[in-house]
Amino acid sequence: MKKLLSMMLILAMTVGLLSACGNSNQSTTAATTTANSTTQSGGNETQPAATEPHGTMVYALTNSWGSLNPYHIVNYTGTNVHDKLWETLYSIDEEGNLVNRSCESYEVQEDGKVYIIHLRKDVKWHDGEPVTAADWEFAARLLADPAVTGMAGKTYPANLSGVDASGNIVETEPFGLVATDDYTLKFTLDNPLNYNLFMLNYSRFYHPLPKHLLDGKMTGANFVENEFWLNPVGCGPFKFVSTTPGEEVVFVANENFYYHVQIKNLIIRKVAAASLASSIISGDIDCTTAVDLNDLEELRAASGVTVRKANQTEYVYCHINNALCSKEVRQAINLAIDKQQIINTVLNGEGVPAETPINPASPLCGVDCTSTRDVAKAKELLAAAGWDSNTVITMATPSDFREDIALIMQQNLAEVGVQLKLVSCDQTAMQAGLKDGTYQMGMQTWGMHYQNPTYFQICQTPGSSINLSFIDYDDYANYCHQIDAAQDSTELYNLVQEYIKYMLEDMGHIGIAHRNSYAAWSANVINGPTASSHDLSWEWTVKD
Amino acid sequence: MLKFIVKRILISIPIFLCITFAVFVLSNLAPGSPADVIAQAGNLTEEAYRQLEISLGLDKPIYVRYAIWLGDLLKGYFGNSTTLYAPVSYLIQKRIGPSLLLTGTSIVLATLLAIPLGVIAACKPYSAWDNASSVVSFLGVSLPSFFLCLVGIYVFSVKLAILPASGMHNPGDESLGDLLRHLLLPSLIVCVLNMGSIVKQTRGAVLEVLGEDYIKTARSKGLKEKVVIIKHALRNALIPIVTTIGMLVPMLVGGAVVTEQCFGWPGMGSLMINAISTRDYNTIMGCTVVISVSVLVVNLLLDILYTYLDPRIKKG
Repeated sequence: MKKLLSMMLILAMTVGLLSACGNSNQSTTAATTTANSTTQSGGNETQPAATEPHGTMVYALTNSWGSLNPYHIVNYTGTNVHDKLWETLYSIDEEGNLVNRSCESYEVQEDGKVYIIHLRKDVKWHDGEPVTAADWEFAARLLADPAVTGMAGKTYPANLSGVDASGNIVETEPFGLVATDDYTLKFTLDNPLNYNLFMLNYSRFYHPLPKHLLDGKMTGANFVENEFWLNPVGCGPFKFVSTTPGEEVVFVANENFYYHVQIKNLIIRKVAAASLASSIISGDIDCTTAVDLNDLEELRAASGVTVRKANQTEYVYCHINNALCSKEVRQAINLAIDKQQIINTVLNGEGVPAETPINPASPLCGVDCTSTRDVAKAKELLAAAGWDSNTVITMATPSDFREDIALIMQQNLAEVGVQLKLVSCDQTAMQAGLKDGTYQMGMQTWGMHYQNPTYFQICQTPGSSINLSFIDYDDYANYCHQIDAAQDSTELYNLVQEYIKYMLEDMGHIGIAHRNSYAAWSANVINGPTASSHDLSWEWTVKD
Repeated sequence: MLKFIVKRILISIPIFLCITFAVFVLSNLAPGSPADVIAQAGNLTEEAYRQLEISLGLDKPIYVRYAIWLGDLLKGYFGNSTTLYAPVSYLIQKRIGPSLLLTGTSIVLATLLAIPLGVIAACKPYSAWDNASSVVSFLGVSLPSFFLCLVGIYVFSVKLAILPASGMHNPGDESLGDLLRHLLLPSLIVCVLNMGSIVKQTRGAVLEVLGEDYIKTARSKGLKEKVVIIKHALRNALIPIVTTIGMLVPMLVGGAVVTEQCFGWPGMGSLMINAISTRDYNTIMGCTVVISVSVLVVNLLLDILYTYLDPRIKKG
């Protein structure tokens, strides 16, 4: 009974957190509970096609997306392309809620260590063959093959049992993902995960591969270089037509998709940030989710252009070398920065000051995260830490709005006796410089946090390739493991508060701002993308 | 002539090796590696990162990697892109056509416009024509390409709405007319940027030749001024002009980097920029090979052309 009550509490909690909510007239979900397992079934039945897919949408991205291999990710821009071509278990709507895709319903067993996923039976490869659980297992086994190296996507099977921390299959143990029948998948995890985090971790980046086409032809050894990726047969809402790698992909509607795809042609094109607004206004580009805040006014004033604020923000933060800067110094630096001034002047007022990766507006944030500049306290802390004012901290920033933020930080920190030397470089050089100790600070952005409170943990975990603050203690990882495992909503909420309090105290990195994101649509768009990835592309519509 | 060509080709081999070695070393010395770029997108453990470095060959000394790359090149294999995960030869094949179209059109336009402008300026020094050609030259030489691109897009695409702002084609329209509409603005901008040096060179060379005795002789023979200018003056001034145009060839193959970026033109320039920012060594080297070979070939062709333009060189 206690468990039943707790499960009901889970469902009653924030709509976006533990339930997959409906979206418009096509994507609705219903949930039921049982004594031994939680089952959430999708009510996303295929809608009768009201009209034939029509029109063309040109969707602009400002970064190159790498390959059409969904497991080869050089940046998260790739997810914008991959989720059109490949099927996922769930998608994410405008509000950040999970929306059923291939996952029709699920069961949670062993307090979150085992997930049974019941797949839709009407998903087809673009060559007409049905997508079965064997295709999902095939993809996971292929990815976990030790011969596959150089794939950021290998991170994703790493939580499965029978897979080591590097994402390689351990032959002596049973593999943690098994197709138990044609339309059922059984995930067995090393550590328990609550449903929401399981779906956020596995739904977005986990895709099936066509076993009937690749079995025996695609192996771990040729996974990276296989020619299949140049002309892939997918199973998502859009079919591949052609590509100029890294510049443009042309898709056509998959008319057999289980949701009614409304656009006939979808073209995803890389466009320089400098000419993005002009291209939207002139109508050469139909939509983008990468609006530069400096272009907002021009876009709003332009005739026919729709500007939509996204329901997600981008976290702007600084890595700071913990080995060189003690906790007191980090706290002092945080207190010395005038974050509101940064938001007012550099971000045109579009954002809120950040103290932690969790947006203060999130229903998961119950702790007071108000950012207040306190120069006197900062000086006090530095004095207590024995800070030598002749010490120079070198901070790297990529050449974009972060350079302007760094200039304000430089002035702010000078007031408390911290000298900041600024270096402008590209993203790769910054990361490399942070890694080898050339730079002690570096400014990053992260736009993928949705409702996942532990999304930032890979920057806080010792041994991680992107722990560039050199955090060498497990406290953050321990908090995150507890949060990940929490099956009870109250427990989850309380653990998140503890995690936030710890971050505020330890200041392992310096939060700057939660920056607003905007999408822009040309006059041709009726309904288009609003967030940077995982939109419900089958619902997008254009006039012609 | 055959002996000359063979000699030039043999000289080109060490030059080619020097170019590729220098680019290989410099790109490898830049902070960060392909492994760092890939690791940015995921939480790789130290072991996974090490495996990644090994799979990319980054654990080997730089000279060994260069030797491996060169060995592969001799077999005709350019390697795979570490960010686009496609064969580099395929990527170049996809991009070189659009680049040749854009830069080729602009160089032809620049040549057709700049040479007459330079000749007129030389024939009427310090006149309004000359001043106008000087203004064009200075604008072309001094204006940053991104500025011209943004002004062009703002005026012709946003305000006047007569030319497209990006891409090579409108969706679903592969017609020649649509291609020309997309080509016009970027090619005119690249044309303006290149005209400056050609106008200046033409003016200077023709002006110098016009002071020569044989021009006076030609005029005293009663030849028409048009004939004197075109047949005698321009012909003899062509060598520096052809050299200047020849110097634009790397851009012809390598693409107009900034213009391609601004107009979303899928050419070699944008491929290279992306490769450099993601430390995609194989793609950087693939582009370097194509550009350096074409420059060496064009230089050879220019040398052959000189002998036709000035028979004294042949005799020498």
